[in-house]
Amino acid sequence: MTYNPNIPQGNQSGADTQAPMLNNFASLKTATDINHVTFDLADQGKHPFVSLHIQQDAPTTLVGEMALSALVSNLSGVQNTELALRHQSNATNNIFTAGGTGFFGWTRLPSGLLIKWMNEVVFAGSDTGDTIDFVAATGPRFVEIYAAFVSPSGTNTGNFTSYILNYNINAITVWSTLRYGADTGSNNAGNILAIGI
Amino acid sequence: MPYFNNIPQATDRLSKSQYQLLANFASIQHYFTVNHIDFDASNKGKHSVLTMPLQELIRCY
Repeated sequence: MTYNPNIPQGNQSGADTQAPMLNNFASLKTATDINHVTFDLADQGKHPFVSLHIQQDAPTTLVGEMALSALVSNLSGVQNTELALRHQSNATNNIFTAGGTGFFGWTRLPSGLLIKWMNEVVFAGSDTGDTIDFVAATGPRFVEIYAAFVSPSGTNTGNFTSYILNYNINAITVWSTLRYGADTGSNNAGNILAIGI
Repeated sequence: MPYFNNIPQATDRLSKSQYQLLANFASIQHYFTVNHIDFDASNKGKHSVLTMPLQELIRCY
């Protein structure tokens, strides 16, 4: 039987309404017992856990409230259910459980900050600028780069020099060089850590 | 409809408490469907969203 919010009517007797009222109380308890500590227990009304059913759209938030919801996303490379946090007044809905856990990876914090890393990214050449893909909504706020000796022949004593030429919404341009004595070119790689939004 | 949290009294007749019971059942469903999936849906009781009104203001770090 379904929950009936339209009982009792004025023309119904107690005999008419006993069964539907009984059903309403049973339905209420059945639904409330899901995700909630049931009636009459010490923690009644609290949540042992929260199951968030997938939503099609970001929730609306008013002034003075925030919302947590579950959305389908392919940000992680596969379609998955992710958690999203939206601050008040319909601010950006930040999906914060997606990410990439590989050597080229990323994560986004509930605050909206995006952290990306690239481990042993090989640059195009020596003494030259190289453009590294970095897709972010607004762009990097901080970029750090340091040497990663991928496969040097000999000892790892090369003189690696690099600095950030430029960065924008989609890319980081790095100037770099690696020198092993007279060798001025090969095995030029670095690790990049970038924080953006 | 208002929610009556102290009805029916032992002395009430159904003719008096009918409207109050009706109001309560309507209020309960209206209340429950905020942030929750409705009673008779397949995922009843689970949360569609978790909306949290602002609590105390915490100073920034």
